[in-house]
Parts: sequence; structure tokens; C-alpha cells
Amino acid sequence: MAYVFEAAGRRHDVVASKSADGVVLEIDGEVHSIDLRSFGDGEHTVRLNSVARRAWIAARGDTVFVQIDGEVWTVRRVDASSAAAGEGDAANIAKAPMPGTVVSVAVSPDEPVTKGQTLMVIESMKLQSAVAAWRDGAVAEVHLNEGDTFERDAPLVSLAPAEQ
Amino acid sequence: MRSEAFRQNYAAMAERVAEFRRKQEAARYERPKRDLDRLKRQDKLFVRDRIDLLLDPGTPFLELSSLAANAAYDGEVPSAGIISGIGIVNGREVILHADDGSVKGGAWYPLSVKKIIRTLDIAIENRLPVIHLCDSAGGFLPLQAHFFADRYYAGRIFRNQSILSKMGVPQVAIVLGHCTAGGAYVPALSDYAVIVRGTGAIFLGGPPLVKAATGEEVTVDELGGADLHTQVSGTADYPADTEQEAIALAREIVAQTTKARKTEIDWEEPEAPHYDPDELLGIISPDVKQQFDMREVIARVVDGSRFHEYQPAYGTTLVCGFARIWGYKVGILANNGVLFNDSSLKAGHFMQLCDRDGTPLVFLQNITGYMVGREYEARGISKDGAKMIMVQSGVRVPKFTVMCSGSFGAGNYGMAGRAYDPRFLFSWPQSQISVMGAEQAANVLAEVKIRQLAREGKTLTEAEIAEIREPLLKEYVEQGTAYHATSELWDDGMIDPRDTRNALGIAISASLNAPFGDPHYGVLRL
Repeated sequence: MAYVFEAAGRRHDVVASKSADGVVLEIDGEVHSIDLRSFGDGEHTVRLNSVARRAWIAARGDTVFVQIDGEVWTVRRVDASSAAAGEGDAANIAKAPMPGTVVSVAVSPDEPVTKGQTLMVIESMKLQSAVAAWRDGAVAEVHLNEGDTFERDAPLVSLAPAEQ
Repeated sequence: MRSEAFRQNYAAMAERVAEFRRKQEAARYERPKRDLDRLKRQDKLFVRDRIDLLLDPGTPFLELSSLAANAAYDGEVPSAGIISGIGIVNGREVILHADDGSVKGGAWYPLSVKKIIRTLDIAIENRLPVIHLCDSAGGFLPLQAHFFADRYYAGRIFRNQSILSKMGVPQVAIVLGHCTAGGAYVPALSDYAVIVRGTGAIFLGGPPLVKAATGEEVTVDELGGADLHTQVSGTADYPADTEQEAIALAREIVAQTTKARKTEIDWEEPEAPHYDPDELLGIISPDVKQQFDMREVIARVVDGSRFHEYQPAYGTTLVCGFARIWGYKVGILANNGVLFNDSSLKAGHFMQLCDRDGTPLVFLQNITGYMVGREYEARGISKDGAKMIMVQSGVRVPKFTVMCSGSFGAGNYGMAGRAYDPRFLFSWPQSQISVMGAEQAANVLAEVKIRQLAREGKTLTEAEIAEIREPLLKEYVEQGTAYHATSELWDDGMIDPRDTRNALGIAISASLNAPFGDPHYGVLRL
């Protein structure tokens, strides 16, 4: 299995595979043999390349806390697909998902917005939904006013192009 | 997440959930004093205590339809006088049907009959062994026209019992009170019947009816008591001196039955959601018009809040993807808006994938319907909606549906509403269900009336129009509430949104007692 972990601010690619004498980890291209034994209550012995050490391990969700020789390491498992994802859709404009009317407008041009912030509330097929900022930025244009009706794919709110 | 809207939703939803809890608590435990006194006089246990004795201590019990009949019979028949639910007895998953002798002497009302039939339908669909705790005065005669003769009326109870036996699904009856008239068939049709000496009795006609019919004077015990039936007639198998002994015997009997081999599906060690399910109350709005992102709901239901989204950029008003619930791999379909052509096609494709791979389906409904309008008809919205319904109806894998907010129109159908036989269907307390929104329906109905009067040459003032419209709106709103739905058994019970994960976990586990069969479908209009 292949994993991506983040520890001390750096990402590491880890591949785990079985070998005749236990588990082999390939960390960032380097091969290590590893053996982990649990004594309960988070206490473990970790044998890495024949050097054994005592470790205390606790996990919370995707984050694992490892204490070795009095030092605590925080290791976080990173979703492999999001680790490899790019910036995504860099669009500057929110378009209407379906025909409807504008219930309220929450922002005005030049206003700075943060990702997730409500820009506009629209109603369509009896449902009100918020059009949220899909990234941080500044409002370039609000294309419709309160009470306006619109067709599918009509522009609703534009953000100023993201600075490179 | 701690926005102003979140806090407002949380406060309002907490109130709605508290109201549900209050009503549920009352349905479970509040009884008129004379009924509780009568139980004591008869030396009978309260039905809840019987269930506690029956189930393995410390194991989960998923009570079904606890608020059945809450909006019927002036609220005097809590839980429709029947307790139904899935629990564990000697390590085996079983479903209970327990008559509540503290409600009208355990008489069966029309909704009691509906609830028993649904309980046995669940047993058939999921091959769940049944334990009947019998204590019923018989059918409530004044309403016999509403529970006796039709296809899904009382006869269906005994038909379902016979089908269960034919399928090899065991049934145990514990006779703790009277089993009169049709009720006599419940122990008679069970594989095993235990009867309590003194209080238990089985007869087609009780002493008063016998006297009226033939003039014969006979006591309850002589006519249908434990000794008669276990020593002479053979209608019951085991006599017991006390309820406690009877229930202990029933537990032993369940232990003798062969443990069913469950269907194996993809399972991993369960993991709690990363996001606290309690936050659901701040995400959902009590106002059905306010949309919320279903991914936020999914994150608070599934293991580790991990969700692999399928076709994240296509048909975005329907969120589809894979996740685990209590370790069981499931395919989730959740509404993030109205269903379009593309979202319907996505649904069909996704369900076929899950069906081929034997992955159960979970539907999270918040749906106002399929898109209407010329453009969409021209693109074939009816045809694409039909594909979704065709695939959804035809899948072999178990389906589970949760009414999260709105459930309107054909959207209810496409998303595995009650008519599509999801194995289990649960409703959140603030959810609403009807053929169209209340406002729209009231307007349509009022419009029809106004035109009718106009034809008779009458014109109406605004006030008169309101007078027609308001009562229609009120009635429509009442009939569209989750309380009305659960009262009528349009679901398998109302749940606290925060319990969704647990309810689904038990439901999925129960469903695996039945084999899935092979995938096959009807013809799709491509």
C-alpha cells in the first residue's frame, strides 16, 4: 500500500510491503525494515533497521502522535488524491445551477471575500441556496439584483482574477 | 462552522429534537394510572420490562415506529399499542412484535395491524427471526372495517407468519396475556409457543362469546389456559409459572435455533466520524426551504468522515459516492438540489455500479422534485427520471432511506421512498413529505375552488379567498409533517439526526441476514 504522510511540515511518500521477516517500508525511495510490537496502552517497541526503541503511540482520526526518546512527533496521513491535486477550477464566475430568482445579495463590488462566504442567496424549485465564494478573493461584479429572475448558466457573481 | 446561521439552526433544531424526545418518552412510558393498576392487579409486567428481560443486556435495540398512531385516535393509542424493534437475543439478531397490554388492553387498532404487518414484512425481507410477545384483547371492533378484510389488513399477519415458516425463519411466541380471535393464530402459527400459567390464554372466542354462541359456561383457564394448551390441545409447547420463566424459556429456545449465515459484504473495523454528529443540528435548517450541503451531513454519519465522491463534477445536484457506516461499505446518494437530466443519469449509473458489486445503497433525501419546464422536457427529463426509478426499483442490494428535510413529488420516488421497498426508512423530526410543497398545493386547491365559484357567477373578495385557502394550507401542512408520516407508518420511525449512523448500522447489519441474489433490471428507455 502507498501512503502520503506529513511530519514536521514535510510530506513523505511511504510504501508498505511484506517481506519474509516482517514489513518493509520504502520512505521517499529509501528502504527500511520495520517491526512494531504493542504492549497495550499505547506502549510499543519499534525496531527500525535492527535498532529497537520504545515508543508511545496515540491516534486521533488521521493524526498520529508518536513519542520516542522524550520527543513527540505528529504524523498526519494525507489523502493521496488531494496531495496530488492542483489548484482546481480557477474560474472567476459563479453561474446559476438552474433557473430561479435572487432572494438576497450579500456582497458588493470590490469587497474582499473568504472561501465559503455567502455571496448571494437564490431560490429555485422551492429551495433557497447560498452561492458561496469558491476561493478567497475580491468581488468583481454582482450580475443580478434582489428579485431578478435568471436562466440556467446565467452569471451570478464574479470574483477578480486570482493574483499569481 | 460556528457561524451565526449554524448557531440559529442549532438552537431551533435542538428544540425540535427535544420535542421529539418528549413525545417518544411519553409514548413509551406514560399511561393512564388505571391501566397500570390493572396490570399490577393481573400480576402482569409492563411491556417495556418484558423486552428488557428478553434482550441480551447491554446490546443495542433499534425500536421501530415508536410514534406510530401519534396523530390518530386522539393520541390515545401510543406506539399504536405495539412495540416493534430489532434486538439481540442470545447473540442472534431478532425482530420483536410486542402487544402493549397497558394500552386499551392490547386491542389492535387499524394502525396496530399495519405495524404488526410491517414488522413481519421486515422479518420476511431480511430473514429475521421473530419473537411475538402476545397480550391482546383482539381487534378493536368499532373500527373493524379498517383492519379486517383488505389485502394488507389483519389476515396478512397470519399469512406473513406462514410465509416466514415456509422460508425457514424461526418464530417464537410468548403468550403473556390473552390471544383472542385472530390473535390466537399468532402462537398457533409460531414454531415455538410458551404460555404463562394463570395469565396466558389462547382461544378463538373468549368466555362471553362462547356463552352467547352456545350457552356453555366456561372459565378462561378451562377454555384456553396454559395447562389445556400444553397438555391437551398442543397449541402451545412450554408452560411457565411466571412471565420471567416464560421469557427465560424463550431465550433458551432462540439459542436452539440455527444461527443464520449472513451475506458477506466489504467490511472494515469501524471508526467514529471525524466530525461530531452533534454538529448536524447546526447544519440542518428547520426551514425546509433552506438548502444545506449534504456532504456536511455525510461527514457526520460515515466512518472517519471519509467519502469517495463519484462524478464530483457531473450532475452536481445529486451527490454520489462511497463510504463506510459501522465498517460496512455503502454507496450514498444525497440530494444537493433538484434532480436534472444529468443528475438522474448519474444516479442510474452509480446504482448499477453498486448493485453489480454488492454494495448496499443509502439514500439521503432532501428533494423538491425533478426539474420542470420546456427546456428540460425537451431534453427528456421524464425519460431520464424513469431510468433512475427503473434502476432503483430493480437493484438487488438492500436500500436504506433517510428523510433529511424535504421529500416532494417524484423526487420521493426516485430517491427510494416508501413505495420502493427500502429495507428501512427513517425520518428526521423536521422533515416534510407531500406530493408538492404546502404553499403550492394550497394555491392550486384554492384556485380550483375559486374557478368553480366563478362559473356559478360568484366573485370572491381577498378575505373570502383567504378563508378558503387558509384551512387547506393548515390541513396540508399537518399532513405533510414527519409526525403525520410516522403516525401513518410511512416510515419505520422518527430518529434524532445524531442517531442516523447507529440506526443505519443496525439496519444494514439486519439486512445481511437475507441473500442479495443476482443483479438484473427492467428495460431502460435510453
